[in-house]
Amino acid sequence: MNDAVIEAIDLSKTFRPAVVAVNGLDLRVPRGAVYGLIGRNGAGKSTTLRLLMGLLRPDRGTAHVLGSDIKDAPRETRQRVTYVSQEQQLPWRMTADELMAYFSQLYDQWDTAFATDLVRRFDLDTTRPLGTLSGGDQRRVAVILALAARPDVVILDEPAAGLDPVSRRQLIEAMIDFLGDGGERTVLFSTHILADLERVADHIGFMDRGRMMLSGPLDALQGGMRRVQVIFSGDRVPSGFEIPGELRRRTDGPVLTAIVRLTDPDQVNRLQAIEELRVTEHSLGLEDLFIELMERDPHSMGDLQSSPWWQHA
Amino acid sequence: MTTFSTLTDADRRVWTALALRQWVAFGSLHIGFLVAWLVALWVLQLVAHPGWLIAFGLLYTVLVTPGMAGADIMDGTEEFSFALPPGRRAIFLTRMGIGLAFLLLTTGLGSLAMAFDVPQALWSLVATSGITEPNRPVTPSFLYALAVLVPAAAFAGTFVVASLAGTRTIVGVSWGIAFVAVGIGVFASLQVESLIWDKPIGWMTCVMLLLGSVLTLLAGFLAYDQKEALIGGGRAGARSGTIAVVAIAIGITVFALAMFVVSVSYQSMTVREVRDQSMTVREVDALRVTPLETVDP
Repeated sequence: MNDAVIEAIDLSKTFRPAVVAVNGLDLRVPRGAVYGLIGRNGAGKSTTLRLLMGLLRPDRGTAHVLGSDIKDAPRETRQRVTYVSQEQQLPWRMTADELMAYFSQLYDQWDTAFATDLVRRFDLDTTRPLGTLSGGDQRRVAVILALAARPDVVILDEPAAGLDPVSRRQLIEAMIDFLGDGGERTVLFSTHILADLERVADHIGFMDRGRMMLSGPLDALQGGMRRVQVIFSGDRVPSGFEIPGELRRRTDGPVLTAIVRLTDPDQVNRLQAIEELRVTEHSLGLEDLFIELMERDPHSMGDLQSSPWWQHA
Repeated sequence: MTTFSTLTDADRRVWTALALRQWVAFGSLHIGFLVAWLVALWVLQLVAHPGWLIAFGLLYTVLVTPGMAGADIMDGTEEFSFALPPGRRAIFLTRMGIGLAFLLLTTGLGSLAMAFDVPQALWSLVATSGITEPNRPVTPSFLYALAVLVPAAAFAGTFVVASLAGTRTIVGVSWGIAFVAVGIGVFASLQVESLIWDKPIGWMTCVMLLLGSVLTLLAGFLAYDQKEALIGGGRAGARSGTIAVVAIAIGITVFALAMFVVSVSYQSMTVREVRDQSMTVREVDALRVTPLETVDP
């Protein structure tokens, strides 16, 4: 888990007229990780994935998958990476059967048995032209193609978008089966569905306005953040009072609620030791964490980037 | 140098799959054109002038090339295609190879067959009638080269514009852009030849077309390799479809006009040839008569 299979350094992309989609992004996905990329709409997630796949040219910086710029990599390397785009269309005249036969020629590791199993699980009609299938079915076909090629790296842009809950569950199960085949597979995916992300991801990265706001192992991220509520004995929060590691605060009379980054195990205990204060501490779910971070003032992100636990092991 | 025989089995399998996919996608159109070409040239012998071959090649360029080169843009599958292992260079080369090979095969073989009067010679083995009466090869001979090179240049321009297009509208009108460029090039080149040699002799135009085609395809190949994938959009909607239909309708109209011009020029050439031939006969008669007239008792 030490070597990165996906690495972006100072990656930047601006679309005309002056829309900064990705702005100096650094990203490192370790081998074997299931890395979930989250962020608000327009945060630059899809553009980042397209830059990694060589579908767009970066204005600045580098994007490497499996150690090279995937656009110029030889076929042997390219066939170890598959990609499903959020807005991707499949050749609508072809049937899923024809497309799978085509893929079996393009990918040396194509797994027909796994593809057949997924088709059965997804209950797909593979004899109809893809253009006549629903959007959800087309998405399932795209995912089957990406997973049954047995790549080392899978990049998925909102794979569950537009799928019903049952299909989403099937998709997650397919991903888990894919990951559990014994090979050291790496998955990088973007999503808005945090429940799915919590179920399969072991690393996450928060993107905002084209930058990586925070990234690291999921456990460390969740364990390193707390919501701390402090109630003062007076009628208001004393001016100048600040909790160590405070990232975001809200005050309501004598009540201060803050999101705190834990850098020291005794950080909250020291507050609780003060008799005049009533201090309670709550762990944060991923969704809480996401909302708290995304609502934060983007100008004060520097301290987040420099926190000791955001970096990968 | 890498050739098909030096590739690994896996590479050969991938190239074959790519070529088959392109052939399957546009196979019916190619077969239709092939049948039309065979019937027109070899059976009915309607194609009796290089101008007809130029028209045939241009019609192929209008109807097949934009759809083949711009297939991913029309279908919204550029992201999908570019992410596949063969990459965009292989996609470009495969499509170009199939299109260019088909075009050169039909126009090249057609031109050779006409130059040597092969279909009529073959038919005359079976039957002799008005329709199988051997034609005299059309002069000037550079027309045979132009019959190959004009469609090839139009194909090259259309293929590159459609491949690099950023919108479906550009794909639809790509043939028009190429036709204008080729037309201007041919006209200018023939004018220059007329100035230098009193009349167009063709070789300069042929060289210009050949070089232009090769350089256009090479530049297109390099640019396509750097192209950014068009994002999403789905396949051609109603508006895009209408634009494509209108563009093709205009193309067919241009083709019909070109055929008309070719017909007229062919007719006038035939009349001129007959007139020239008649004059020659009269001259011969005069020569025959002259000795008798000189013997005057």
